[in-house]
Amino acid sequence: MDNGSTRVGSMEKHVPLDTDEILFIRSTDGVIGVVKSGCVQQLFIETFEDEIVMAISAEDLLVASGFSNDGITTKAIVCTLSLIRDAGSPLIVLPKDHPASSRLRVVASVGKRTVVRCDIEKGTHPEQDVLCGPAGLNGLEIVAAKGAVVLRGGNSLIIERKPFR
Amino acid sequence: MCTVGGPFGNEDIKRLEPQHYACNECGSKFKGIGKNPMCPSCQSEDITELED
Repeated sequence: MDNGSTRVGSMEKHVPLDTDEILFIRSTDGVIGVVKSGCVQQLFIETFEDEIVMAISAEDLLVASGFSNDGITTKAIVCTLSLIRDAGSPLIVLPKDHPASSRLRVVASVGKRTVVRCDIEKGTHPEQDVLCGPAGLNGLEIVAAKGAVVLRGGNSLIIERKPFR
Repeated sequence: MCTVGGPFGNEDIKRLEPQHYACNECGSKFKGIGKNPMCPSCQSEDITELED
């Protein structure tokens, strides 16, 4: 794949990704952005009760999920990932049933593997291996690999690799 | 769209289980996950895992 968009089916897809690039994965109802952690060595997960230090490695993934497939959401995903990776913003976890959950337009997770779920409550899961996402990307598994991202599941995805800046 | 406020869908998610650590440099105690966590206060890698 070059830097243009590509449509892929439900088979496993191995997509090269450098630390200065972002991968967009689109469905009709949402978009997900993926970047490498790069030089970030740790992030903070802030819950109502605890602060948890999460140690990460350069190949780990920062994944942000937006609930519309449009330009504003795409820009918000880039900003969210930059806040986390470049500015060191913590991952804030809402308590269950918090009213802010319904107002979130972008949610994020960090780790070696994330599965997109459309049946969980936005922004309330400290676990980093699940991420709330649009129904069109439900079940998509996003896995870190050396210099790449592996995508499993998901139907008729549109993927794009772009510079991350 | 993502379900918001419903009780379903959350039961089979593996709970986050952080380890407890103490920093041997500055004495800070913290909770961490992942390989090779560092002290969040002084960034030292000289840490000890504590019993729960």
